[in-house]
Amino acid sequence: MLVLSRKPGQGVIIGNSIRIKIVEANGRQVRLGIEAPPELSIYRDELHEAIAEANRSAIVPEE
Amino acid sequence: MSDEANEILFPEGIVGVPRARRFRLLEQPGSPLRILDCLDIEGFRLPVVDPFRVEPDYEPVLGKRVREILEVEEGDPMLLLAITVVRSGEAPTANLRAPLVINAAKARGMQWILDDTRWSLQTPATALQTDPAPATAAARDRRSHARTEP
Repeated sequence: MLVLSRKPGQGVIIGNSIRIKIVEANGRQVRLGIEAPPELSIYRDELHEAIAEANRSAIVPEE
Repeated sequence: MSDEANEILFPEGIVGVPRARRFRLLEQPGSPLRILDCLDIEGFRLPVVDPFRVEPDYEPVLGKRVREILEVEEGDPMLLLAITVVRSGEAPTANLRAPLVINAAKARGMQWILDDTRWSLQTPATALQTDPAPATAAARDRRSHARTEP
């Protein structure tokens, strides 16, 4: 994983169309601003992982 | 019965399982549950249910991406399904937070994660336990119409 240090107000650009900015850093919490094309989905990773886990747990065996 | 004709393509797979792309939807006579059977991964079978059966006031708002990925055109019949967890001895639950959306006209589907936190990943689906037999066929044949953002 690429790890970069950024300060509030700074950001990174991914490809030509995705911009992620550090809006605020406050103790253990960081607020991100994300600009991305509307066709890209953006989710909190814990929600994405919870849904992936729910999908896996729903699998039923062959009869 | 031709399985190929019933094949539904999920171009993005489902959440957490991107290689699960081709499915067929199998009816289960006498049950409100259908099985979404993956053709790419053996044994990957998901029970699904009409979400409106679980929550009559269900109101999912689908984003523009759904239209693009499912190639939705005016009048295409859309089908909504909720993945269900069924375990013996436990009350079944349905995932209303991330429903499956299928464009029946194009045989394309996707799993859409709702922003709305009103809908739970594990909504109790007690309606599935005490299912009156006469209602089953009607519910199975009903096509749900999903609402998309303008």
